Amino acid sequence: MSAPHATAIIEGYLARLDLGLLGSDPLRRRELVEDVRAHIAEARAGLADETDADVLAICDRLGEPADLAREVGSATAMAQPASAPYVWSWLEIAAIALTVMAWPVGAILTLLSRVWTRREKVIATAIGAVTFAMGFPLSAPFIGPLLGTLVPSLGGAAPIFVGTLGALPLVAAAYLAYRLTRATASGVRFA
Amino acid sequence: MAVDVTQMRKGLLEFCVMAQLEGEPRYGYELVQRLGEVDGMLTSEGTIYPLLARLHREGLVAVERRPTTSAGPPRKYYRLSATGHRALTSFRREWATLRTAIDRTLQGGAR
Repeated sequence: MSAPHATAIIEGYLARLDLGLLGSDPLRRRELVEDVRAHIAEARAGLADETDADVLAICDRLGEPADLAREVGSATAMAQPASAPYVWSWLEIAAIALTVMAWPVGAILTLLSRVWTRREKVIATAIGAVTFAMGFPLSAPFIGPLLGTLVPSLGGAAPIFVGTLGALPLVAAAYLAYRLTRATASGVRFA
Repeated sequence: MAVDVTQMRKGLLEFCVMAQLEGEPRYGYELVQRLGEVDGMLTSEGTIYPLLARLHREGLVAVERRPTTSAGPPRKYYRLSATGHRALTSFRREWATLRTAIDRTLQGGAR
């Protein structure tokens, strides 16, 4: 057992925390991010056999980054009520890009985001997972879109099947991008 | 209707944290583990860090960095300051009075 996406999960969490602390005192901001980073390191050190699920559970127990940021009493946090619309940022852009280029990482970032609804996350993850589960190893999402354009030109039913599979991450990314523009139209702002 | 005790818990948590630091200095993760043993004390573990930072700013706890036995960075140890001791003693007295008063009022209301 191992946690291949531990770094992406942790850095994603800390980035959301740092973003929530925008506008607060720089020293307090750095201190909290360092304290939380140290907490995660201590919690991981106590695990004998770490998995991605363990790392996600550590972050989950810490609480929502926005709630922690609010505890600091930063100018931004104070000005934002608990139900303030979430501001989308580089996390969502990275999630869309990596859904095509490195699906597992893209899927994790998608799940970490608060812009998409649970339903949208499930749909996008399921579409991307089909390609991954049907025999495309970790590096395949890179070549998937390429196969999608090259293989059908060779003719026959099998290449079309492979080509369709390869194009699915693109479909998942397009869906996420479409839902993101819908969210923006309904009041979610860009940072 | 569910009762929202978040604010009340938050107000009391700082004294529980200070009580944990009374005997000996402790680091953040150690505090989280100790408070986590008491059901309902910490709803999210991360909230302890902004709280510790505030106690430090207010002079109720002191911070000291000590090297770890492993290769990791030094740990931040928190200990109760003299001001913190006085605040905790005062709280204990107030809490004993308040708890008795509330218990009596709640039981009286049920009759």
